[in-house]
Amino acid sequence: MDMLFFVVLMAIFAAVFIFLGYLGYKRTKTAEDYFVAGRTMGSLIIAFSYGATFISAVALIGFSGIASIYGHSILWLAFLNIFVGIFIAFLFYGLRTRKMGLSLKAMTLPELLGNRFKSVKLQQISGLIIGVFMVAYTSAVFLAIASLFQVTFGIPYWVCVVIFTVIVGIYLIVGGLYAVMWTHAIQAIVMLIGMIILTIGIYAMLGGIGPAHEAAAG
Amino acid sequence: MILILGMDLGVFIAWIGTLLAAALCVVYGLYYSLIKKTEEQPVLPKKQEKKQEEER
Repeated sequence: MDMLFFVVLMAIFAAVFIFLGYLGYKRTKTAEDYFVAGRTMGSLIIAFSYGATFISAVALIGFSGIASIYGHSILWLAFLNIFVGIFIAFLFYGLRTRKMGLSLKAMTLPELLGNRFKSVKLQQISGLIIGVFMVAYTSAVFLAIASLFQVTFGIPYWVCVVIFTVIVGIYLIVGGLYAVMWTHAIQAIVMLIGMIILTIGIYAMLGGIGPAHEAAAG
Repeated sequence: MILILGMDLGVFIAWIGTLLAAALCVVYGLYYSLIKKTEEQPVLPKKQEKKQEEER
């Protein structure tokens, strides 16, 4: 039953995301479309997409794991993530970065830095830094989701990694940022619904907010 | 140790801070997209601005 559920879930997941990849491919006409979705995405899609990217499997699964080892103090990381990483980042840098990106005709952060300071070296180094650390970050995301499916459904770890990498690789390469943002928006909605159900369910199951926190601390 | 909703003071501040920060993001997002009008014109580099002025 678990295996059947996994296969059906993966088939739906793959079909929807690859379809969105196809839509992104059809809509992509220029490099600007591919890299920054033509700079035309609506605020809601941006919000959900950023949410799914920033509060990723690392936060949802990784933070829970750290909290189980080190306790509730991990909430400070959650607070700073949201307040600094989202609110402050958008308030002070959001519109300014957008305007600078437009005026400097930059589509990536290394390109923006390179064009702003007229330095190819700076562009190369920042691109290299992002490239190196993004590989580590992406590996952590795939590790988290593959571990979750391994534990929940008993699917071999490597099978999960291959499936997720192929699906994500297809819609990302084919559909560009249109596909990335649409799929992320869907993932964010699923994550949000899951988090609300989990939070209310756990508090209800353990007898309310206070008793639940005491039980978790114990 | 005094517990507030099952948490010590430091954890409680972080917990309530997380909820307030999330609410703040939503409220600011709604305010920004529904009420605040912003100019979306790109900031031109000074050289480009001069060129445009000369052309005029």
